[in-house]
Amino acid sequence: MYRLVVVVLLAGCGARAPTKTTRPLGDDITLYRDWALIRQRIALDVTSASATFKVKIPAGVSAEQLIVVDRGGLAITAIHLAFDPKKAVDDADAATPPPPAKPAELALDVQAKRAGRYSIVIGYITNRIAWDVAYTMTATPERDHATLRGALAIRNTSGIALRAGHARLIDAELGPWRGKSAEQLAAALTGAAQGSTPPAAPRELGSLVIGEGETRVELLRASTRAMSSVLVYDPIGTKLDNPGATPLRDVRMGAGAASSRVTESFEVQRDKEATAGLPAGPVRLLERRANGSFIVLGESRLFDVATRVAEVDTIAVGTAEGVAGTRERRELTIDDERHRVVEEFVITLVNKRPTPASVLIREHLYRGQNWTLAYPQANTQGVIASKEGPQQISLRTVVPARSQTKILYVVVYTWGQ
Amino acid sequence: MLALATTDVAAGGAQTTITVWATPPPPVSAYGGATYGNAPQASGAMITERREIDVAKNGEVRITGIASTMDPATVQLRSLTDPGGLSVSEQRFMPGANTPDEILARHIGDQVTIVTAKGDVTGTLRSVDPQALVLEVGAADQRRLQVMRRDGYVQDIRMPAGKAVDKPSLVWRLATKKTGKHTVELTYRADGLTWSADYLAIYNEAQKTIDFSAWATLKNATGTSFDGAELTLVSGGMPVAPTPGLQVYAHNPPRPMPATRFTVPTLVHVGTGESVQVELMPPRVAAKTRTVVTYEAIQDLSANNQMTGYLGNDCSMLTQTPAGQGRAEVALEIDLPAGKQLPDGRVRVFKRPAKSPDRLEMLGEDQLRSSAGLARVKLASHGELIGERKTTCNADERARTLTEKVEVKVENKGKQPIEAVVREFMWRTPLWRVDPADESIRSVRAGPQVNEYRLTLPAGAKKSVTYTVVYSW
Repeated sequence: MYRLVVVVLLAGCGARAPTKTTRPLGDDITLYRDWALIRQRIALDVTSASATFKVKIPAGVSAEQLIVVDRGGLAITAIHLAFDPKKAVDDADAATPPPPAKPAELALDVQAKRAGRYSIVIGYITNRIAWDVAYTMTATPERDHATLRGALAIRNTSGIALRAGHARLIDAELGPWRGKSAEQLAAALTGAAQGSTPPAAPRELGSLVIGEGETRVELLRASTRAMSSVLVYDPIGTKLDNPGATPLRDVRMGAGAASSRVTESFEVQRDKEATAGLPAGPVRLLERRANGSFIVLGESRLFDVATRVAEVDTIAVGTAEGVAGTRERRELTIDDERHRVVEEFVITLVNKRPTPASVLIREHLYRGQNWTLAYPQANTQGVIASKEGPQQISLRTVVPARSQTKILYVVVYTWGQ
Repeated sequence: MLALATTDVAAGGAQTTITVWATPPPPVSAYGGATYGNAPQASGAMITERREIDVAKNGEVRITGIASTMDPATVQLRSLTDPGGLSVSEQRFMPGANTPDEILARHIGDQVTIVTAKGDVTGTLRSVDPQALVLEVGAADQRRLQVMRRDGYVQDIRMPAGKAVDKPSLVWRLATKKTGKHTVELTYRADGLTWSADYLAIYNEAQKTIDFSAWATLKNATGTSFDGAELTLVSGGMPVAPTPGLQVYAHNPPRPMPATRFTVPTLVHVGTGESVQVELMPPRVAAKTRTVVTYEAIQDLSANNQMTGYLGNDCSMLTQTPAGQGRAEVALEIDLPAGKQLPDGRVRVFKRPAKSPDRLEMLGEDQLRSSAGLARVKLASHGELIGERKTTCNADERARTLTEKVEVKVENKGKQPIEAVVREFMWRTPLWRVDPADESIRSVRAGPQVNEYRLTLPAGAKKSVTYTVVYSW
């Protein structure tokens, strides 16, 4: 059991009161991909009109990063924090998490109208709380259900232990996420249109003690979902994705020869409520054998941004024999005057098997994030189209035995309208 | 246990007063920041200390505990004990010694004890370099010089530390008829003390209010501590002579930006190597806020055109800004008491979500925009306010004026009415005027070279702002 140790010393001056220790009431921590935003609650036992308290905070936090969120009824006349004038770059600018270090120490000059216990809240960001996530799915022998588990490994090199009354995780970097949040608020205040893909939802972790070193946190209770086999044709992947609002107008983009490989995959239904806000990470699909041992069926990733609103997760386990695909661009129209780019593709699936093949085609609308699917609409000619993420759609179809199917889709990108 | 005193300015009276100029914000310029001929911003700090000194018969006084970054040419000394009766006839500034060799060199002439494998040797240090040191030992006819190798032979060097010769110090020879104790006031300028403003805005989504606080972060890299100091923080410029080489272009001296002064209400301990944060004003809790959409049709090129005697007089520049080229942003505004104007600085914006008010979500970090009585916090870009701008311009070389007629058309393409603020930059030179009679809407000056026009735009509405600006040089 870790315990947060916040050393608070009451500074004595003349007839000032003796030192009082404090009991932390619980911090509030939000973990982003690159930073952790921490609200640290500090209890101060004030016995004289003015006093100075010392508080430990994570190493590397500079004075400019500190904010006072709640004074708790005290007047804070000054906050002192040592800095290294020879150090050109603060931790705040460092690209990679620094190694473990001694915590920094704040001195708070406070004034109180009356003696008593006060609770103040300060805030700061630190890159000394890093995390990783990993998932496993365990399939039943019948391969019709799988149990999902996930765990978070949090590494704390801040020099202090943090005891969070409330902790949450947001699977995004702080800068882009706060930009999205600000956009949403601005749109709400002005009645402007909002994007159709929401920013990453916070995943509540509850109360959490993050001691120095590594802490492992279970992300979700083992939950069982329906699983089935499916063929997946994903010839492009996410490598071309341009996350900007204005589409790229490079004529050659995505027009080259695409892979014809169709994969044998398992698709696992997503429980939207239970998986809301789960961070992206690698997953291994395991199968338990009769003797109790496990074999790895396949590896993939779960909850990437590209699949944020998907209904299912797919895990490839091999190449599908007898089924292949091709992807051809039929048309590209760039209309700079009307701020539109129209692109038309035909996907051809060939099934040489003696049985019909159910195929999920995954397409990436990589030119930009402002797009509309002009064709097919929701369900046209037996093709079911659905959005999986900000730049990803899936099209489902069944290819009859020893036959081929052509699927056409048209995407319209817009900007500055 | 640490004792740091905080004393009321009114109650005590400071022994030290420090005036610190704000760290200038990085230049904002569309074309690379060529602030040609611009007056440099004041920087550093003026430090005034009251001290007790003991003037010896030969008039020599050494004081330590001064900033190692001091500018010796700015030192002023005044006796409060004998005003007019004390003057400095000679002054030396001894920078601090930091390396072992520098400290040793400061003790030349002192008695030192050298510890060697063959025993201790005591004598007067005569010379020192990285390889050897020279000691004068013995007395009378036994006196001799001994050269000792520092590599291996010398194990330890012991010397007195009490004279503080290795610390930054001022050594004066004073002219005075009254030797002995004097209370003096010492004033000097030093680098290494800087401050910047940091703001915090927490938007309460349910109540549509803002908690707003303003802090100054002072950094002390002077190498010395100041206890119980009265702090005055200044933002904006003070008159500084232009660079001599540029005088030929400057018919008029550069006009400084108006300075904003803020005196910290309590005495503050400013430790060496320490950041100190103090509040610039009482926090505003649950302040009412307005949502506005600001529109800037052109970039602010003022930074490139700061010379009052040299005008950005190319009438073909920025004459037409087509629709869609400007920048519209949603911002939150709060009113500040007593028409207060806050210094430039960074603002961090957070939100208390309506659904979970205990949580804080970060929304952004940007420069605060403040004009008299107003603070504005940017949220995000806005795609539903568009505009275009046209100008006609006429330069009169004889009258030394340039008259520019400006029309800005804005359109609200959204489905809700908005309060728009059209920000216009009088970028050609700091000397300009807009006659209110030539404005279609009354403007508010929001900066040295910025005017703002506020208008309500119903959904789908178009409106125009017209004005005439006259620049002179």
